[in-house]
Parts: sequence; structure tokens; C-alpha cells
Amino acid sequence: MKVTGEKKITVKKKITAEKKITVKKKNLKMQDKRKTQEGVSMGLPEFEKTGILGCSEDYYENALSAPSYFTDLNLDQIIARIAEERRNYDLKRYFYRLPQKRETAQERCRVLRALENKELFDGFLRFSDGMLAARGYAERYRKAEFGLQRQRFLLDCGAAYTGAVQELVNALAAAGADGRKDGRISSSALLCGLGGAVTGYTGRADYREFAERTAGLSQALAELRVQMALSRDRVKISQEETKGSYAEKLKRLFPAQAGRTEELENPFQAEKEPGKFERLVLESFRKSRPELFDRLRDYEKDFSRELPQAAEGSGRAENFMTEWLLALERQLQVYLAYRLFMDRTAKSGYPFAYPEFSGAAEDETEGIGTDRSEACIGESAEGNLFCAAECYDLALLLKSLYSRQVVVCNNVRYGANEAFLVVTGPNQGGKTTFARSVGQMVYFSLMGLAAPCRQLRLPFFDGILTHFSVEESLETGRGKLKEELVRLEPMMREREKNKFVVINELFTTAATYDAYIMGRRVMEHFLRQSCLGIYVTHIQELADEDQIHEEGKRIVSLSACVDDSDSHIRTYKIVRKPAEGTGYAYGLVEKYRMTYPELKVRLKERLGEYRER
Amino acid sequence: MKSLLLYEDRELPAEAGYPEKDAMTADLNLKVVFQAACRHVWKKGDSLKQAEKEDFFIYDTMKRIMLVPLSDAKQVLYRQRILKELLAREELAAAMYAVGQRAQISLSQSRERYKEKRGSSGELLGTFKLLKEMTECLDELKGLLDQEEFAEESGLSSLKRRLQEEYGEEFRAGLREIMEDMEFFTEGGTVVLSMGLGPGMKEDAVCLKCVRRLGYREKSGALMEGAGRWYRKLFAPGIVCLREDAELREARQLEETAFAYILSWFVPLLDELMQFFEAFSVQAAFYFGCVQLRERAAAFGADFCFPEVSEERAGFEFTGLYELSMAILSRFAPISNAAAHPDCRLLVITGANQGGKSTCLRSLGIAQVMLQCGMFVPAAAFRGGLYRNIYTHFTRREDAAMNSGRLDEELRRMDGILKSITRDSLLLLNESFATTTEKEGSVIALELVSALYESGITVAMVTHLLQFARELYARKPDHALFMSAKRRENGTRTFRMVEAEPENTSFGLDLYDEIITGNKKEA
Repeated sequence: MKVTGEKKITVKKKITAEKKITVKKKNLKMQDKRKTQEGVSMGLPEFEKTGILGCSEDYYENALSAPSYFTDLNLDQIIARIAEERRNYDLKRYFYRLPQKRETAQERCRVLRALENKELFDGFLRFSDGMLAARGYAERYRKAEFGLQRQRFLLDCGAAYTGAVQELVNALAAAGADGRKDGRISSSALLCGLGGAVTGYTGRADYREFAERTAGLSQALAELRVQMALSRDRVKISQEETKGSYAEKLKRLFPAQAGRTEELENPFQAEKEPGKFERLVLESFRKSRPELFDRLRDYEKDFSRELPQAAEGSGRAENFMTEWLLALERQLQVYLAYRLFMDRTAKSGYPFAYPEFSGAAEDETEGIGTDRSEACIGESAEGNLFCAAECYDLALLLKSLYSRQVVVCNNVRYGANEAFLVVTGPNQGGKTTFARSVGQMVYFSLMGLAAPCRQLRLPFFDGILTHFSVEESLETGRGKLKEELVRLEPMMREREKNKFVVINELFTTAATYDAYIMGRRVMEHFLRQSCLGIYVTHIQELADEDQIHEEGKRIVSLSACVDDSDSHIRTYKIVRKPAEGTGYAYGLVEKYRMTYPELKVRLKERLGEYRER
Repeated sequence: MKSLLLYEDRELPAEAGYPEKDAMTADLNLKVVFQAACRHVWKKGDSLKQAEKEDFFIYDTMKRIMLVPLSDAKQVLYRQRILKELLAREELAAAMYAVGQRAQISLSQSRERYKEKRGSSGELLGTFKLLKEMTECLDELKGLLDQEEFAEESGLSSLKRRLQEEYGEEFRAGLREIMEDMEFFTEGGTVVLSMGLGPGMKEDAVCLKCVRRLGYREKSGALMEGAGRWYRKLFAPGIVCLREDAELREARQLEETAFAYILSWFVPLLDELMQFFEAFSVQAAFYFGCVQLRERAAAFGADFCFPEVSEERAGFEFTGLYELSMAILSRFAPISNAAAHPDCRLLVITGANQGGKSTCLRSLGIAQVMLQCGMFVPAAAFRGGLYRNIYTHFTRREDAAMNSGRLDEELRRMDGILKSITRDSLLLLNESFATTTEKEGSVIALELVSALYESGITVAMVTHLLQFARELYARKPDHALFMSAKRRENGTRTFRMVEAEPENTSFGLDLYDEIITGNKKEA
């Protein structure tokens, strides 16, 4: 017994080894074929590498965790909401890495702007839906056991895939980005590249043959029909279909529903393997048109490949979906999700603006390491280096959409030589929110997306650095200071140049004088590193503009406002003004603004002038 | 289909109603009114009997409807007309309420079932059952209304007409036929379906051809089952018998789909009926509540009148106005008051403690609330405007401690009112600013009331701040009315208010005499 057992095992090994070799050969063939296929579309290989985001998929491969500034700026909440717009995709990693070049960010803006075209946008959505369906069928094809069903899944996959590609072609053609020279969206290099790549792909003979066969067979199968009479335990099946339907009777009774489909909700869910009863019916379908089912068998033979490692199912997979189109589908979702998110947010009346990068006319060959902000300051003739109108905290807005609270908008301006905004003012006055909103604005601009503000012009930074104090730490004062400094240290290394810096309440636990000295040093350091930034603090001396004299006036003092008539009311407006202390006492009646003159004003404001009739 | 018994153009109030409803309900004692409306009352000999349990549905309904004011005279008239007709047909009002309750019970049972049986075939059968019950309720309501003749312009007559038009004989016959067909699912029958092939080679695009419920003969033929099967095997080759459990299960699922399909056509109708009865049961409860409230008042000899709506949002015109909540609690018609000043916008009531000032103010508030929801009012005659908002700011001097915390709270409440006040508001102030000294309170009150008066807001107030009242009186505003508790010559109270100049004392001494000296005499 033992001997035979061993023999059997060796025999098995041999067989598997042989199989492996054949599989390898086949794979090689496939790869060869693919190489030649790429050769066909040699005209535009560039787009297929870079993708619609202007960055290859490899760039995002290791982007697994959020950058450190994400939680500080509440970007994690915003990105989660954006990703929710396209739930079927894992989009977060695309937000975790900023593009490295200004040109990429600008190109992305052009794509996003082009998506304002409803036809293009809807076309892309339909393309994504089609691809999603195709991938679903491909997955089921790999897993299905029952032969007829498996073959059909492959056909369905093909149909969904060709449908999606066609949607893409139509959408690009409608938007004028199909690679023709007179294209209306010729200004977007990425879309034009996509148009060229798609035209090249669909023009190939092998793709055309595949599409025709898929369509023909799907059509023929769709036309098959049978009829059955079911009464409890017996069923009569016939190939002839009688005319009329029960829906006609229902339509007579309910004329308002005349437009309803006569189709029943399908009790036979496509995911499931056909049950015994269904196979009974399927058999009568096969009897009615046997040659169709032969064609389906050949289809599978031609358009699938064997998988090297078969986990379950028949061990085969489709062989027609191209990698770059799959990558396109994924990357496209970033734009679609953001567009949907923008539209939803815009309904609440808060604007988005496409950023304009100052110093854009500079030499494009400029390296990343060079000090760009200096160059920007150089063009001070124009006036402002960084200028934004009505920026707001997007994360706060998302939260307050439910409570319908008003989110305050603020303007931001860095004059020609100015580099740091120092924000002071009363507690709960909107300082941190202001700092966050500017940080968010910079982030979305660098991402090449529209930023949450009305208008925006800013330099292209090489990244964002943030430092927010961790609240309610149980540690002693000294422990907390140490913790802050430990987090600050990596931000202050030499290589961190030309960044946007947001610092919120640094050194709160240190003595005021110490905190002032340290704060000034930190700011001076970032000024030397040609960074721009915001410094939120409760130390009013830091906001003293004359304290730092390096190259003229580089620090601007901003302050959170309170209402003119009542220091208890916060307006959450942050404006340029010197730091000052606040706090007044009021009498009870005065506090409620219920003295006679004030009452007259209030009632007049609410009700208008009253005239005796 | 809509019942439209509360409004001409919609079913139920969409507005939030009065601001600060809870404060107003408490200040005006409206709870007592709601409770009276939801308890049946009858006379047994000389004594008055009332139902043991409150009907919470009516209670909630009264609270919901009465606290939302109507916005124009036409709407008020519309409700008054229906109410008058139902007061004349108490039995119909009760029967309509009963239909509404039946529908409510069906609806809540269905909701319970839905929780238990969601997603199963039990849910479908539950929906079918609800559909049957809803159509029965509608039939019953139609029957009730068909028996009666209403005035042409009444909301009841248009409801009757709509029921006849939209739910006519032909439609009902069609409905019955299909609902009988649907019994195939519960009693057995034949379903004919056609189908094609869809994704994953599964049967798809299923179309229902016809449905036949099992005839009587087929039912009784069940005994011959075995023989029949053999017969078909030999002579009817197209027929397949399903014997395995799996096959039968799938076939049953297909039947269920067909049933669900037919049922889905009824969903709009069912939704409509559910909405109809959700609204109708509330409307019927409101009118039935009104009927019971009148019964209650009639039992102790008090009467109601239907008020007149004036165009102006001003004026105090009434005779025989009494405080309803007090009447209900004490079970006899209390002292009534009268006034006739069509263009007054400011009413200041001063006078003796325990003299009926607050009662008078409250009676005015209750009547105004009842007028504004289209009900009758507790008075012999009443005429008033429609105010969008009624604010009450009641302070009871008894529990007013002299500290700034209380005044702060009082001012904050007033500030809240001022923030939302509109010109078409009625402000009822009772002993406001009693939480501070008379001197301070008078200054605050004078500034506040003058500003409000000059802005055209209607204010009725009870005050003990005589300094304030006298100063205001000295200014003699054009549209102000000053009332005071009437005293007889001998100092006894009448609890009746008369027009008078504010006097210099609140007759606290009288009260002192009555209680302290009176007790001494008794002792």
C-alpha cells in the first residue's frame, strides 16, 4: 500500500510540473502578444504611463498612510467625505501624495474644469459604471463552476467592457477631446492624451473583431424567450409566447402607471448558480437554439486565458481588459468624486476656485530644490504674493451642513514681501479655524483641485508643514513642551524649504517670555527657509510687526474680531489689525439690549417703520 | 385623494405653530382644555359622569391642531362651517372618528408586522392585508357620507363628492377583480410567465402573462392527484411534475415574485390610502374632540359662540367671556367679562390681588387660541383679529424671589421674544418684572411697553407695577384700554373687570384683612 501511495504522489508531481511549464509558455505568449499590442499604439505611449492624474500608479503604490498634516488640518474628515462620493473605489491614497510639479497641478485643474462639461462628466460616470460591471463579471467568471453560466459571465464581461469603452469614446468626442486637432478641449494635454490613446486602442483590428463578436452574440441570446404555466407542483414549458400580458389589465385599473415596465423584479439573482428548476428551464432554451450555445463555447475559447494559479472555479480569466484603462478608471474617480463633492457643497452657497499659481511664467526646467519663493517675491510689482478671497473651513462646513450654521469666510493676503501672518484674538474667536481653512486651501491647490474659496492666487509650495498642539494632555507642563519640541524638530530641518507652514498655539505651557523668544526663533527660521505660513498664538508680542526686521516688514498681525457693540459676540472674522486685549462689563438690561433707545432700534430693524393707520 | 377637512388646500398644518408652545400651554392652562376634549361626558341623574380613560389620540391631536394658528379669515370660516355641521350631527362625528381609529389600528399593526417580517413572504401578505383593510375603511367612510346631505360649500360635501368621483363603482369593481385574482397566492392557482436569458445565463426579463385563481372543482380534485400525474405523464408530454424540494421551493419563489409584482401596482394606491387615513384620522379626532368639549361645557351650563374674525390685528371686543379651564375644573360657568374697543392695541389690567386679573388675561388668551384654530370660543360674543404669534410671558409673583438671577432669566426670556417677534403678534404679559423692586420694574416695563406699543404690536398685560400703570395712563396713548378689578362699595370683590383709571393700591390690605382678620374672627 505504502509503495503505491508514494508512486502516486510522484506521478502527481510530474503532472503538476508539466502543467506549470505549459502555463508558463502560454503566459509568455500572452506577454509577447501584449508587447506587440503596445507596439500598435506606439503613437501615444506617454499617456498610458502617466495616467489622467499626471502621476503613474507606481507613484501611489506606497501611499498607504496619511501625511502628518492631514489630521491637523482636518483633511482626513474632508477626504473621507470626498471618497464617499465614489464608494466603490479606494481613493484615499491618491490624496496622500501631492504632485511634485507645478505643471501637473495646473494640468489637473484643466481636467477638473473640463468636467464642468456635463456630457463629458456623465460620460465618464457611465464609463466607470461599465468598467465596474465588467470587473464584477470578470470576478464571477473566475469563480463560476457551472459551465453555461461561466461562459455567459465572460460574454457579459465583454459586453460591459466594450460598452464602457464606447461610452469613453462618445464622451471624449462630445467634448472635443478625441484627438482631433480642432478639439475644443485642446488646452488640456491630459485629456487630449487620453483621447489619442483611446482612439488608437479602439482602432486596432483585434479590438474591433472582439467588439463585433461580443455584440452579435449578446444580441442573439437576448432575443431568446420561452413561456411557462406554473401551478403549484407542475409546470408546462413551451417555446411559443402568447401575446398580451397581465400588466394590461393593471394598466386599465391604474392609468396613472401606464408607463411602467412589464418586467417582473428578477427572482433569479445573477450571482447565484442556477438552481434545479432554473436548469430545467435553461434546458428548454438550449433545445430551441443549439447553435447559439456552440458559438458561446467558442467565444470562451478565444477570449480567455488560463490563470497560473487556479484558486477556485475553472482557473481561467478574461484576456481582453487593458491595464492602462483599468488604471484610468481608478484615477478618474478622483476627479469624479471631487466634482460631485464640489457640486454638493456648492449647493450650500460656498464657492470653489481654481488656483492660479503666481510665477507660472517662470522657466519650466527649474528644479525642485531651488528657492522659488524668492523668485515670486521678485515679481512684487504685481502686488500680492498670495491672495485669496472668502476662504472657509471646509471640514467645519461639512459638519454644519446638518445644523445649518453659518460658516464665516475670510480673506487672506500676503503682500509682496510678507511671509507670516500672526493671528491673535479672543478664545473661540475663529483663529484655529482660520488657520485650518488657509491650510486646506493650500492643500487643495497643490493637489491641482479647486480650493474652498472664491478666488485664489498663490505660489507653488513644495509641501505643507503643520504643528497643532495636542489638547488635554495629561502630561506635566514640561512633558508637553518636550513633546511639542520633538514634533517640531523634523519640521525645522534644513531640507524643508519653500513649504507652507501652519503653526497653532505653540509652547502654550511655557512661560510667556520663553514662549515669545522660542516663537520668534521658530518664525525667523522659517523665514530663512523661504517658507510662507500662519502662526496662531495667544502671545500678543509675537504679532508686533516691527520686531523682526529682516528684509523689511515680513510679519503681519491679524486679529479675530468681536462685535463692535458687544464683546461677547464673536464675528469669527479675521482682519489685519494690531493685537489688543478685550473685555467690558454691561448692566443687565444693557446686556440684553433692552433700553428704550435700543429697543426702538431693534424693533425698527425687525419690523420696519410703524405708521399709525 | 385628500380629505381636506382642516384646510381647503392641504391636509395637516405644515407650520411649526406658536413659538414656545410649552410655555404658552402652561401659562394659559390649555392642558385642561385638551383633557376635556378627550373625555366623553354624560349626565346620570343630577351627577356628571365622565369616561375613565383619556383618549390620548384626541389629546395629541387637539394639542397639535390648536397650537397652529390659521392665517386668514377664510380658513377660519372653512373650519367653523365643518364644525357647525358636525356639532349638528354628533353621531356622524363619532362614527367618522371610529373609522379613523380603525384605520390607525390597521396601520400600527402593519408597522408592527413590518418590523417582524421584513423581507419575507409574510411582509407581502401583510401588505396585502393592509390593502384590504384600507379599502374596507374607505368603503365605510363613503357609506357614512353618502347617507348625509351637507351644505354645498362645506368641506364635508366636497369630500363626499371627491370620494364618489375618484372612488366610483367601476374602479371598485376592477379593484375587487384583481384582488380576487391575487388569492392565487394564498389559495392556489395558475401563473403564466414568459422569460428570456440574462446575465450569468439566468432567466431574466420575466413577464407576467396571466393569473388564474383555483376554481372550486380544481380544489376538490386534490384527491385524484396521483392519478392525474400519471395521466399527464402519458398523454401531456409538455408538463413536468416538480417533486424535489429544491424545485418546489424555486417554483414557489417565482409565484411569490408574480404576487409581489401585482401588489407593487397597488403601492401608489396604498400609499395614498395610508396618507389619506393618517390625515383623516387626525382631522376626525379634532372635530370629535370639539364635539366632546362642547358636551362637557353644556353639562355645566356654559355656552360657546362662534367668533367673528376682524381684519385688523387689534381690538378687544367680547361679551360674556369666561375662563374655560377654570370653568372645566370648577364645573360651573364663572364670572365673565366684557369689553368693546375695536381699535385698542394695548390692554393694561390692574387692581386687587386675587381679584381675577390673571383669569381675565387667561380667558382672553384661551379664546384667542380657540378662535385662531377655527373653533368656537367660551363667550357670548367675540370678535378678534388673527395673530401669527401669541407670546406669553407669565411671572407669578408668589414664586418670585428678589434676586438678579431671576430678573436675568426674565429678561433673557423677553429678549428671546423680541428676537422673534413680528408685527402680527399678540403679547400677553402677566406680572412681568415682578422679580425686582417696583421702582426698577416700572422703569423697565415702561420702556418696554412704550417701545412695543409704538412699533404697532398688540399687548395685553396684567401688572401690579402701579407706578408704571399710572405713568402710562398719564401719557394717555390713543389705543390703550385700562381695566381694573371692580370692587363693591363695601370692599368685597366681584372678580369682574371694568374700565377704570389705575388706582394707587392693589388692595393688598383687603386681602390681609380677609385672611388675617377673618381668621381671627372665626377663631
